[in-house]
Amino acid sequence: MGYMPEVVKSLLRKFDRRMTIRNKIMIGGAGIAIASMISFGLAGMLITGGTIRQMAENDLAHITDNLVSLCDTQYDINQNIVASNLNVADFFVKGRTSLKPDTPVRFTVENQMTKESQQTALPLMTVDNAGVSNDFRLVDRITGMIGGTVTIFQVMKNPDGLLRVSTSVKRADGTRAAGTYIPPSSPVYKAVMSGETYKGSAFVVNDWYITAYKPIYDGNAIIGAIYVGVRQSELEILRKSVLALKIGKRGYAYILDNHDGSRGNVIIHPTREGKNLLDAKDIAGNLYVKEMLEEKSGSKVYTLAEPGGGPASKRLVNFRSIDRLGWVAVAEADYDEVFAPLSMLRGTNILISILVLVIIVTASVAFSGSINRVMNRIKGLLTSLSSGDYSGNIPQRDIERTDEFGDMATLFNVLVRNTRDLLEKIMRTTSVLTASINDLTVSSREVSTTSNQQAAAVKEIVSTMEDSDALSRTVASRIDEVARIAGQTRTLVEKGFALIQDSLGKMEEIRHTNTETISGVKDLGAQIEGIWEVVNIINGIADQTKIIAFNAELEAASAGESGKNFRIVAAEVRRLADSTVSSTAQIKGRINEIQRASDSLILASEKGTERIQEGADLSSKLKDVFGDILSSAEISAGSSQQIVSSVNQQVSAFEQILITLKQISSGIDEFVATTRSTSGAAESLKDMGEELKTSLSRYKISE
Amino acid sequence: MTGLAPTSRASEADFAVIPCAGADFLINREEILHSRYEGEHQRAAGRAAPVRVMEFEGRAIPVINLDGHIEEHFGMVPHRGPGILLFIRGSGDHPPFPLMRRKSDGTDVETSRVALRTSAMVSMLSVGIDELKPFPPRLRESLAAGGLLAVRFPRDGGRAQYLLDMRSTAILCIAAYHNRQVADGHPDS
Amino acid sequence: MENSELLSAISATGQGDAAAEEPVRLRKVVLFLVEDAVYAFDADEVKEVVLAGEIYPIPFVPAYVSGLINRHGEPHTVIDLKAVLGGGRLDASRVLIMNNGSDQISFLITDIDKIAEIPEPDVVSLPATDGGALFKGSFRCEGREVFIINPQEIYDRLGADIKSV
Repeated sequence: MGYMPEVVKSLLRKFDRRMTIRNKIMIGGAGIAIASMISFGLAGMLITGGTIRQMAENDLAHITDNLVSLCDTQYDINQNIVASNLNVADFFVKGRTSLKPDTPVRFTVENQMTKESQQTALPLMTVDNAGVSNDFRLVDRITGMIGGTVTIFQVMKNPDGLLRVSTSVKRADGTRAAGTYIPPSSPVYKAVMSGETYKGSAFVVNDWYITAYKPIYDGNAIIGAIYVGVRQSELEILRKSVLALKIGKRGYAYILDNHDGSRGNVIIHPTREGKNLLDAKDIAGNLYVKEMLEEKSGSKVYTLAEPGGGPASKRLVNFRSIDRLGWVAVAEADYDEVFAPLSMLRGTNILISILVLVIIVTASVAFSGSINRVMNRIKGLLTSLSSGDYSGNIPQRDIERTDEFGDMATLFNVLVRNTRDLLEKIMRTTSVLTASINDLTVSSREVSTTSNQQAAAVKEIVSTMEDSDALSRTVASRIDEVARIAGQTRTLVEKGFALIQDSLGKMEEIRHTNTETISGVKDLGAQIEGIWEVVNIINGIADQTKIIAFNAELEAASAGESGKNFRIVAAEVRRLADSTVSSTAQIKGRINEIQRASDSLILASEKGTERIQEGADLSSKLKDVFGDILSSAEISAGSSQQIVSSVNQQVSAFEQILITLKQISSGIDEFVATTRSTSGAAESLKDMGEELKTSLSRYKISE
Repeated sequence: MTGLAPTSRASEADFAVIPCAGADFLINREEILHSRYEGEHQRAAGRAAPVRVMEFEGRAIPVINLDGHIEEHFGMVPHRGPGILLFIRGSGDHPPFPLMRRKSDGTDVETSRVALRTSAMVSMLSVGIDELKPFPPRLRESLAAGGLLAVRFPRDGGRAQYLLDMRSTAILCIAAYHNRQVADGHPDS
Repeated sequence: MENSELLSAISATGQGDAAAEEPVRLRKVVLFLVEDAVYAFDADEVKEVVLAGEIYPIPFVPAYVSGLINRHGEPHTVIDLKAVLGGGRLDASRVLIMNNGSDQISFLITDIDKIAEIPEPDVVSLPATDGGALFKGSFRCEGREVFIINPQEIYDRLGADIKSV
């Protein structure tokens, strides 16, 4: 240690002096353990991280491989469908199609690529002698049989091209795409005009289709073409398969369009189908979709913001181009999910390190503890002896040690045992002496106390008995009064009960009368109804009379002078009938009033009936209650009399007891005076014994 | 065939009664050649059409929807019973019968007989001829053209009974149906 | 004034009336109600008034013909006067049966009012309009202007209309 600076030396010295042996051993062990764990952990983590990323990328590459082959297979299947559809469609037009040059049809034709349009006229195209130019019945019929889309083209000169003269393909606005044409630059045009059947993906009007075009001949001349197609994106089975792919918990697969014009359209995607993501950016501002579509194949890591505005997540993607369809398949996994095993490994490492640390520290504690224990026992024993305690010794297991600590402990135990024996002998003698004195003192004190208590108790009983005697007399007079009042109550209750029974009878009479009134009013109502009917009959008769009288008057009027008198009579009859009608109208009014009045009377009486019933119910209840009170009053009057006689008996018994108790009290007072003098001598003897015992008590010789 | 028997008493005549809500219709027994209950299979097809052609005993016969006619002109619905076809004499030459003669599919339609179909509860009734009253003079001609010949008010105060001329009714129905067809541009259906 | 003078004065009044009694012709009319409006027919054109009972509807007739009524077993045409006068359909139960030979025509009205005698000069003739002479004339009665309907015009109109139905 000669080369160490002076400061370090002094620090080490301090450490050496102040630390306990136990702590020194513990700190040393823990230091070594921590150093070795840190070095092993770091190395392990670095190696494992690289391997996991490599594995994840390989997995995603496998998934994209599978997606590509899935799409290829679907494409092949659709091509087969298209090929068989083409055979069906061709059957309808082959050998049946011709042109009628004498019947020109005007078209506004539009180049489907450049959208340029111009006017032109073409001969009418016919199938089985029925015109198909701008007539969609045939193509709709074929479409109905095979599905997808069907078009009949006519070869057009100036401008050159294949013109759609009849088609089931619709534009975005829903109109038929007839009038658009395929320009000569298109591979379709080239193939058809050289007599070949074109198969493959083609952009038809506004979408990509898996298509087949076959020339239509009239003799040896190619006059047109028949087309069938299935929409490339209408691939429901493929869609389900792709959407069913789950990569980890948050990863998935999707397919992007990479055709010019529709680049970046999402063809299949669990959440963002139908959108265009060409301009989508990751969190660092990279156009990540565009990058993938340009690079066509590879692996990347992007950090993407969640569409819902949630926290950004790091994504590991693998993508591959499906050249035949012009699509790019993408498999995307959650980066954190991929590296989840690594973080688990990190956790395990820390856990093991802590465990090792704990073991080393525990071992250090056990080792240093065994040395420490013997030293501490000897130190403890010496401390007890110096305070007068000779009861302890060093335990057997420390003495049995074969090292130097064992010998030292044995000698200590011999010294302590000799001193303890001497102290024991003195203590025994003193104890016997003090015990005898104590017995004497206690017994004389007990006698004195008991006598005093007895005298006081008897005096108390006497004074209590005197109070009770006075109380009993008061109670007797009160109870007399109660008995008298109970008798009066019974009489009053009996009177009340009779009154209630009386009112109950009256109530019943009222109720009966009321019921009769109501039924009388109701009868009246029924009679009024009868009157009503009669009045209506009278009214009817008056009405008819009026008409008859009028007719008589009319007859008389035409009879001229001779009918004059008769006419006057007839007019009178008619006036009489008129006044009858107005009288009956008045009667009707009165009857209405009476009916209203009797209705309200019935209503009022019925309400009254309810009240009367309530009153009767109440009285009946009151009667029951009074009956109860009456029987209680009778019982309490009888009970009061009994109580009066028993209280009187009690009063005379008390007087006898009181006289006897006073005699006992004076006898006890005499006995107390004689015990007091014996007690004094025993007390002074006891004080001397206590003094000797105190001086010996500072030595402790046993547990 | 239903049991429609001719009568011999001169002062009375037999009539088929078609009961409706509001009034009854009488058809002269003599005018009915024969009648027949409609079978299930006949009922199924085109019952609601004003005029249709029905296969009967190997011949195509025009059938007129009498219920529809009554409902259209009187606003009444016959009391429902089993469907019955009342056959009357038609005419091969008298217009508008020839219009029915040939359908577009080439079927020859016999027009010497015409059937009127009703689903009313048809019954028979003998009525004194003097009980049937002609309509007021100013209405008589117009109602006769519409197939209404006379009216009867039963003595017991029941509903009015109109005497219906089947031949006029048939002519009216066929002519109206044809006018409508021509107006709708379907001369052959 | 003495009694003799009084007597001569009285007889003079009576003679004066008798002397003034020009042959003032009185026109007998039947007044009736169509809802609240009062109209009149010449009395000799009306046969009787009856309670309508049931009115049986009939087809192939103008809209103002309500239908038929049964009058002693004889059918009578019922014409809705409210419809003829251009006011919609009348809900009423009285009909005026007309005196018109065997025509059997009647009019639906709300109620009859009375038979009145109107001095001929009080009746104002109305000029015929494009629609024909539906009213023969009018007079004032109890503060109201009453039109006398010409039934013949309605019969003629029915005759013309029924051919075009």
